[in-house]
Amino acid sequence: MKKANYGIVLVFLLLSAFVIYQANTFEQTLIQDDYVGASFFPELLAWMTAGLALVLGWLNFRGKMDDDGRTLADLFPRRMLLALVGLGLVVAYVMLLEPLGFILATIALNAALLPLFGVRSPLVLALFPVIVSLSVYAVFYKILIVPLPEGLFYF
Amino acid sequence: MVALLLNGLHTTFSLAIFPFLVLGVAGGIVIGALPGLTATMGVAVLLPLTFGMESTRALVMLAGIYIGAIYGGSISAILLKTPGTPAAAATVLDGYELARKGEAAKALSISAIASFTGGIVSTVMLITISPILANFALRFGAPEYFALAVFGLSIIASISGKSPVKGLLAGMFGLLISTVGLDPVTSFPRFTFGEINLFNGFAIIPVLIGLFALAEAFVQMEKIFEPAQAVDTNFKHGMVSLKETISLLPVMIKSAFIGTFIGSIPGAGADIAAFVSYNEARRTSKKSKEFGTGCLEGIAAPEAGNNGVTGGAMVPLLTLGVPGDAVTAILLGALVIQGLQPGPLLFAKSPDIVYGLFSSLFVGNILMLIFGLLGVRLFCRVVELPKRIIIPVIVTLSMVGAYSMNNSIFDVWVCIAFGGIGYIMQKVEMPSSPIILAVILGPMAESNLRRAVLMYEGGYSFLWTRPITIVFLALALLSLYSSYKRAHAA
Repeated sequence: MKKANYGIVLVFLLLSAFVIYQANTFEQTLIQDDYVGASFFPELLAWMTAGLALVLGWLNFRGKMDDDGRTLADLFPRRMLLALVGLGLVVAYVMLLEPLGFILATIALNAALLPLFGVRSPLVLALFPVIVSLSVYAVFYKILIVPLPEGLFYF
Repeated sequence: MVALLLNGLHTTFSLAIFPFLVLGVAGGIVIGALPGLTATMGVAVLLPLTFGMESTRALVMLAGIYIGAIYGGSISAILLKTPGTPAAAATVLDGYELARKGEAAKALSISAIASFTGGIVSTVMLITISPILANFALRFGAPEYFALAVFGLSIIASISGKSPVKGLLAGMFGLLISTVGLDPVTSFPRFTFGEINLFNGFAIIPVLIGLFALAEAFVQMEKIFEPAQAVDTNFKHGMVSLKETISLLPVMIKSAFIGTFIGSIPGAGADIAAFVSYNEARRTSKKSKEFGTGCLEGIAAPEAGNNGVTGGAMVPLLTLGVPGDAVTAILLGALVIQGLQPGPLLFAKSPDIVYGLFSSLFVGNILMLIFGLLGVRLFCRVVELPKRIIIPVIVTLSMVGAYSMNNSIFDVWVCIAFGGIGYIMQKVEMPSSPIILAVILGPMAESNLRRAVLMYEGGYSFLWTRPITIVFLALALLSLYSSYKRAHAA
């Protein structure tokens, strides 16, 4: 956890630097009587973030942060690949959502997730994605009148 | 007043009205429980159905949806770590933890009871002291709103779990996110990089769903082949006991007062009330160390607080014609459509409608309690489903929930991005709740600070010359001090 904490410090210092750099490029608009300007709040927050990140770094360095002894390999184990594949499938789903439409894309997503999670029953693999997709479509689109992506086939 | 209330009750229980109240409350619970569908959206979506209805019937149904949806958000928050509405974000902290311990029935039942208590107390306050509350709320200007936002943000330290520094960093991240979009005073586009979808900043719903639901789904995917946790399905033992309920009454009533007060301030909604109530309960609790681990008080407080808003938000609406939150803004529209003009004259001109609404709030809260308790057994079935079945459903609902608010694929990408961020944050033990609180309160803090500075021509004397501002800033300091003391003692 100690290394992960240093990682957090680094990420937040970089974020602060980025925000301060960007905020400095904000231009004054025609409204001249705004006393603090568009960059005031983000800059203030960025400096506070940098300060807090340094405090975290200092506490970590002094051993005052809870350290459960876990290494980076413990925090990010190999089985994390399952989550990453899941994330990849979700990304692919969103890319397919508009071309395929909600129903087909959702069937495809669920049909891909189930085998990843170890479901082997052909009946479940065949029925579950269709039931989930149609149920959600019925509740949101038909009952609550929430427009969902229609795609090439208009559903 | 008593005669008018009795007359209102008579109207509420009439065959022409009661079924619509039942429909409203039940529909509201379902809408609230679905991720992405807020109480505002529920009322807005079903508003056109009331156009052809008689005034009392229409208002009663919309009020029922409002009550039901605010409660319904807690069901998915407790069972799936997916707050149905932003108002239920604080309920996740202890509700989901208690459900993970196999006590989902207890968490759901106390949530229903606390929501009921919050709703009833706020309705009583609405009926009895609404003019006083309304006059107080009218004294809120930009400096007071800024101070209220600062007080709300001071809660971050309290909901940061083991490491307040990491929680504060998460809060800062949330505040930085809230600065994305057009500047509230000069309209200068900040951190938008030419992307038009970012001009209004990040919508709260996709961020909320990503950080809580999707991140949790990714964590569970990692553990998919681990043995499932045992779930207590013995409902006789699982429900909250009478003794526990009685011991929680002081917390629930205090939170209901907080919710009503916050609800009566225009612009401050159920999400803020829930977090403030949670923090106050934790600050004053003898079991403050148990908060965040599945503590009953940690569920009762935010639920009583957020349902307390339902009556509170009606105060400025009915007495002044000023909506207290987004839902009452739509209710204001409904009143106008029905040919009614909210304000002091409404009580004089249409007492039957006003007291019919008051009575329906009473009865609606009772119905919500009945549906909530009867539904516990049914809702708990969700926890019994195997992870390999429930995760695809959570992912699908998350995607639809993120999309449905603005019908925007961009919001779905935002949800996925925050899902990834939330996943990494869970790995490195950074809490996500401070981000949500900061995204809710950040715009309120910045825009009101900027307005206050403009009002005072560049000066900051509003920080120490306005009584309400001083009180809120003092409360913020007190809240930070309590968190520091607690962390130091731990």
